[in-house]
Amino acid sequence: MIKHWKTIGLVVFVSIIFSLFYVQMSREVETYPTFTLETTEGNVEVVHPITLYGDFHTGEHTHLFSYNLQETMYVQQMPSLERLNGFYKYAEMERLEQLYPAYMRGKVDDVSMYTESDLYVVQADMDWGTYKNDEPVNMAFNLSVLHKELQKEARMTIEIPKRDQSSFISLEKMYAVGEDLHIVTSHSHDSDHGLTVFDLRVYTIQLDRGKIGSTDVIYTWEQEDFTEDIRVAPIENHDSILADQRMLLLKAIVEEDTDIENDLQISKNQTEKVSYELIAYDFRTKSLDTFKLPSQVKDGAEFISYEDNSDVFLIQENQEKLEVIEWQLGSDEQPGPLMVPTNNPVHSYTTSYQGEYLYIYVNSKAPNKNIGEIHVLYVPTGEWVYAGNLMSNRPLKDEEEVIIHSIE
Amino acid sequence: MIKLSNVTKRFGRKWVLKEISFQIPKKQITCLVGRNGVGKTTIMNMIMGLTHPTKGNITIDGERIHSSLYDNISYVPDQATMLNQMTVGDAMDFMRGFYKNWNDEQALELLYLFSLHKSDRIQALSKGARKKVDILLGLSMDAEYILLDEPFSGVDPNSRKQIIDVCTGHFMENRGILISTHDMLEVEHIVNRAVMIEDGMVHRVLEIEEDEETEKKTIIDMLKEVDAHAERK
Amino acid sequence: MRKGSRLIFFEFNRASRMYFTLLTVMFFTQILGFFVMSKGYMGQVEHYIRTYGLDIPAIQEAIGIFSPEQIIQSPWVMAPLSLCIVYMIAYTFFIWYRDWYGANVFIYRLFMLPVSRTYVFISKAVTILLMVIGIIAFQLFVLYIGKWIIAGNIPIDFRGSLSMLDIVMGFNYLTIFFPFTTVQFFTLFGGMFIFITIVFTAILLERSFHLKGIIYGLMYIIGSIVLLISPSITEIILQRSFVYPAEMFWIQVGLFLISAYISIRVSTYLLEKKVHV
Repeated sequence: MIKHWKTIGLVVFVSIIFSLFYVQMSREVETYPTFTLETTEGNVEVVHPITLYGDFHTGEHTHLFSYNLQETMYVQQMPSLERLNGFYKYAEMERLEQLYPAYMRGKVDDVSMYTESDLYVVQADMDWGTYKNDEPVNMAFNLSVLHKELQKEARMTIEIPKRDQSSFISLEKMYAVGEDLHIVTSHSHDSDHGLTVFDLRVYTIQLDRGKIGSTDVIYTWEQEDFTEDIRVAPIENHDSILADQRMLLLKAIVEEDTDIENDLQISKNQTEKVSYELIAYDFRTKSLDTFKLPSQVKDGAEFISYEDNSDVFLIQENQEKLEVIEWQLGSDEQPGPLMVPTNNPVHSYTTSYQGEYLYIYVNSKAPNKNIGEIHVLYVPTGEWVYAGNLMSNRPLKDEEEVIIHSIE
Repeated sequence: MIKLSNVTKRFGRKWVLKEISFQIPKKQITCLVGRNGVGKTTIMNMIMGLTHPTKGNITIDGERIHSSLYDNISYVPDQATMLNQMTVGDAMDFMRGFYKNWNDEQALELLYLFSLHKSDRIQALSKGARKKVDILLGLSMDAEYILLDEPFSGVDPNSRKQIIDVCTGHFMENRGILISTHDMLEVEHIVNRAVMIEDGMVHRVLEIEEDEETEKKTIIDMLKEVDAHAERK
Repeated sequence: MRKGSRLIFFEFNRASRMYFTLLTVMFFTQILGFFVMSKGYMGQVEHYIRTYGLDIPAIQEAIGIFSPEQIIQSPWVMAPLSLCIVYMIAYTFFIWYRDWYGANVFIYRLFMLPVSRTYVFISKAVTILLMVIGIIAFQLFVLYIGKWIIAGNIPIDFRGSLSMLDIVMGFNYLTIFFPFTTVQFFTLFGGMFIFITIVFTAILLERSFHLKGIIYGLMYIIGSIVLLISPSITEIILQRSFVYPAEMFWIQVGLFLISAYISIRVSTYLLEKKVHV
């Protein structure tokens, strides 16, 4: 054995170095903060279903973690084989995978591509087809449809009619109800007088027949110098669809040149004027109603909605505080905002609507061990039923930051 | 017994050996005779499984060559095969580590007879000395069969004498030996049988004692006749 | 098994001289680099203090804080590491060809050993793998020392994180060769071993069939790669996936094992029936 000291020596050296390395890697994660939720008010059972996902920034690197009231888990701590299925899981994707594991096998992990009715689960995306002169020429919808009762999957490709008349088509939203699938698309083409014409269309596909039943253009506008923009309002529950089968569209009209900012918020430059309208499209009657937003709605307001009635919920920042506005569509009543009872100035926030509860997590601006606050609103009564502080086990260093970015 | 049956070997389009059949019995010394390039090394390489016949088969005591038989059959090739950076002692250790039939006593005796030292680095040895190392390694195994490919060629006279002395000594007793040579003179008096290869075929197999008795000629004379016949062709 | 391990020791001993020389060069070059670059940075800091009288935040603004990535991406570290990589690629071929074309024809000895020729194959593959793992472990070892050098030369105000995770991440795309968990260790080096067996099989095809064998060898490598990436290719062609990511992992593991089995079986056949001296 002594004769073979070189080989044995190398094996021993490798074992020692890698062992040290792995011990150090695991110890490194142990230096990261762990979290607990301290209840200040209400019943902690209300927050048991949720998982908070956040980033721990150390200056140069970012470490993803989750916290589910029992433990903090950093992505490095997750067993390697479990991590293969993804660390961050949308609750909706997990639900679909648990209920329909065979159907969901191999499916894309993008929750916006799925919709569900009482009869079907549908995954849909655009098939761009072939290209001619750098433009797609035979676009179609690719659908994968699961009949929930029969547990049978059908795949279909449905060509988009008159697709050659549009220079660009994008899939905006989907909504399945019964045997119908409504796909909302945004089309654009150049008009005769050199402007770009946009229209929003709804294709209603009969899932049992695999055919387009109807195509409706629900709104058309010309975009001259990008002064007008319409997008489907990003409302959290059912993605802007209200329980009465109405889809909300947010129309922004800029009176002077400005850039309209990201989808999630109403925003404007303080010196320009932007006005907003909410347009409700009814899938059953195919009619449009236009509503002016309440005057209390400020820059940066975000939409939330819920199923039971046609109330629209918005959340917005107001002087380093958050407030929730509940507004009945079509009502002239100016709703009084419901202040989120935060104790610290708001750095950023995230929301989630689950069951009948609206969860609002607020990242604190100047955290020490208090990373942020969580507040829960019971929507049917408009009462705050829970308040808690997310606490770190140790103070954060100057270069460290913890941001919770989603609630699932 | 090592038995070759209808062994044929082709390199590319050239048929080097055509239906060679002969035997190497145990406890006898067989000499493989033929000109340079006739295929003697190829035959030995095929017996050892270092190259493969195109047709035919070769058996050692009824079995085809496989790894466990290498404890029982030793080969001393014409080329030096041990690593240059090894010493003679390293080479002996290498063999001792792998072959259960390695005989240390025999190895030390050969070391003395060949005037070699364990500390001699193979790189620094002459061609004759390297051949002696290979022969030492080959003969130090208690193998039933030993194949020696041109053990006397290309070496200095002193080494040649030492090698001849060893090859005619007790190290060869009770083993099946196959020696290849193009010059029979050195081994004429120890060889039991000779296989003459000409034109890729076995020209003649001579049982030395019987044929010398029958033909009233020495083996050397018989070989010269074969050579002359080949030259006329 | 004992004779098999003896072969591994033997093969590694043959390679050890050049191997340890390379590691020594790597050590001294990289350590020197850590010294030179950390001292150089502090020289700049002192220059700014002396010449402009700047305070710490101003100096940080002017020249930035010192990050280990600067040394790792420099020729001080990359050059000797690249040399080791090139050496290992060359040695993967050399480990076979020198037994035929070396000063003495050692392949005779290897083929006449009373061990299955598969052991000859495995011992060479294990030797290559051990050498590669050794280089990676040695690089980690040097990084530990380098970390200590930086900490000793540069005050905490002027340097970034010296955690091993952050230092290793400084290798950018080469980070994949540093396994952070035991599962990654076995998948990375298991995969590497299988790739070595594929290359060895291609070499043995050349040794068996010579000129034609080069074509066969290249085809074998391409065929093996196609087999290994076939699930991904299928997904790309059909533009859809059929399995969950964890299931895809196990399919890949299965394909790697199948590839290893085929390589070893083919190589054993070639070594016993086709390869000649």
